[in-house]
Amino acid sequence: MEPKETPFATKIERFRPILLTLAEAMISPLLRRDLEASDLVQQTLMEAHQHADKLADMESKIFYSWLRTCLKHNLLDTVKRLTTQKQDVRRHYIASDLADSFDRLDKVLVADQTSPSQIVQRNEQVSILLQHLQDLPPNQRTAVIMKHLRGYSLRDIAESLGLTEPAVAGLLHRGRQHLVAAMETRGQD
Amino acid sequence: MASLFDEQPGPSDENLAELERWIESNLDALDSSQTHKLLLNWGSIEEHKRLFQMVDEIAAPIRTALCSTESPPLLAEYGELDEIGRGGMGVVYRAKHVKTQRTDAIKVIRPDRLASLAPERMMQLRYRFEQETRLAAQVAHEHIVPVYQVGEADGRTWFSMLLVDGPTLHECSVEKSLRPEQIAKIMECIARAIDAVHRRGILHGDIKPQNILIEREGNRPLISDFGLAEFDTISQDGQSPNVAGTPAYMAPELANAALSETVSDNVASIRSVASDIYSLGATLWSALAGCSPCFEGRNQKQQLADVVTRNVRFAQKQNFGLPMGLERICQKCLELEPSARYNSAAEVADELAAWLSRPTWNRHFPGLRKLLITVVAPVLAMSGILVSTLLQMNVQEALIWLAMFWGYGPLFATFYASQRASRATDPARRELWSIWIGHFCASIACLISCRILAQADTIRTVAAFYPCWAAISSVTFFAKSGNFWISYRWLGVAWSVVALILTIDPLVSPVIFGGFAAITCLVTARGDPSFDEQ
Repeated sequence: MEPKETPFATKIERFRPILLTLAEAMISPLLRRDLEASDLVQQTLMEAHQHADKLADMESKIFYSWLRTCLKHNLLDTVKRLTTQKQDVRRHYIASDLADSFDRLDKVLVADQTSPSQIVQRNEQVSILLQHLQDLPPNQRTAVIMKHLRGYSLRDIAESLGLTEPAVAGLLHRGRQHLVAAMETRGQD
Repeated sequence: MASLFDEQPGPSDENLAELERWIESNLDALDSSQTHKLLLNWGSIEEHKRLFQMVDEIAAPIRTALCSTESPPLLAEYGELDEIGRGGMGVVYRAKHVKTQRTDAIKVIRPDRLASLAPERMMQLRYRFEQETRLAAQVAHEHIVPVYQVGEADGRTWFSMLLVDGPTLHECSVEKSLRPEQIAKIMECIARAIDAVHRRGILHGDIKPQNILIEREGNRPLISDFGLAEFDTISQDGQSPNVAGTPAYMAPELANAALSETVSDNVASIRSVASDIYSLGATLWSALAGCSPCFEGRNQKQQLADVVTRNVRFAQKQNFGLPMGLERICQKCLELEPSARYNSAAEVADELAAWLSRPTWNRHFPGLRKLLITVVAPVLAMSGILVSTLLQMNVQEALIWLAMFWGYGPLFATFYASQRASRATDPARRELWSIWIGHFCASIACLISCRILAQADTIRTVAAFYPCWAAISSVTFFAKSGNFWISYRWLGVAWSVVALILTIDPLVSPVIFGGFAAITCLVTARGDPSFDEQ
């Protein structure tokens, strides 16, 4: 018999797809062979469970920030371990870039330059996008992440995935259709 | 793109790929009339465009944050861009201008700093930045980093400027590699440059040691980053206030406006000549003290509050060993009330120039202070004792007068020696000679008058003369406090009191006078900053 889910476990699980997309977007093609986004997210969520007493009453926004920081540390630790194992100079560069990326991500998600309501709305949309990306089939998801979250060109995506450009364009189009449909349905709820 | 118009409607993957590529190269033109033309020919493009824009708009800030390996923008005018520095606001590259072959510095505004802004606010910032940079570029001044070109590439604002080979004033002050005189000279040049732009109606808005560069060859100081202050309004930690500038160097009126969460434009309108002068003062202070005006471990918001409540280093009792004259200039720049500060940057420059041309006897005559302490002071004290002894021994009158004025000997000898060694400016030297020759002449005249009035009675002459002599000394020190050490005025007050004391007993008067003259000599040697600056 499966154990009954506690409210905290539900709270944590809501962030799993978001963190997964973030981790997938963070892991560059260079690291993809050595790193598994789902492992990192699993480790992050396990740590959240371990700190349940501290995190249970935390406001959702702060909890999300905590999770991102935890994911960041896990990702950086793994990258550093790989660097030491493989003595790869390029990875040193990646580790510092990754840390910068997380810092910038934090700034974007908490920025208070426009009105707070706009920020809340935008962050909400970003979270929904990140969450629904996990509902896409893997190839569509990878293509959309590479295109919209990492800014790759059609040719670069095709090269990286070993597909033709029309095939990637098809993946992108269908991926966007699914995403927008999911977001619009959610908007109507 | 002719094929797009020829194709039959239908979302085949080939069509989609072509459309995708078209969007990649025409992202900015998605709303242009050309799109409408395409729409007429191919129905699905509207849907495709809608989907693309919807996803892309939401994803854009995340993308900007994640794309950490920002490749430098491609600039037609320049060759390969080589990153040389990265700041909170921009990335600086070194690049060779294709036509002139001159190596310039290219500063590119970091796109992630703009990612969180609303498009109209971003446009506004870019517009203001370009406008201010262009205005500043018009003011050709030898102490302003010239801006050659302003442009936009790959959606990133950039500008090219003179590549200054040398450290910033901040780096120099942290290493404590500059003497106060060098810092004062640098700040005088910068104040003149700031005055030149102020006269054109442009404010810098972010004067700080980090923005002052010192050329390695020739030590020419240059101020950079005009009009960039606005970009610093963009949040760095999510808690940043909505204001341009660096809190530690920001005028209290600006910090106050920032804290009260006035919108950025209103804060910008509070910026004034006086706020730039405050920043000049804070920069001067920080360069001299070798640390930031604000305390460590404070976030931006706390620093702003500190500036407003004067919880800053320069407002504390702690002595940072600043030369007194420069500290006075700093304090006037750093007045809480804008109207109490200098009226213009030119005034600051003039004050710094005046300080630089002050007499600095000891620098060129290192033994002067020692001479005052070991020779002049004992001679003055001994002459008092000698006069008192001679008075009681009923010796020849001429011997008494000689013993009285003996002290002028080493005094003038010291002046003469220091004059030969010193390169102190002529006006200061002339003033010193005038004051002391005046002191000597007035004393002689006073002695003769007292002797006539006392009908040649030596004791009565001495009794009347010593208080007058002390009064003359009092006037002398008040006069010296004007252009030399400010505390000379307290010696002036003390000499007036001594003048009153000297009326008590004519036989003790010479001892008291000589003793106080020796004390004056010691105080001068110890206190007058023109003796102790190496």
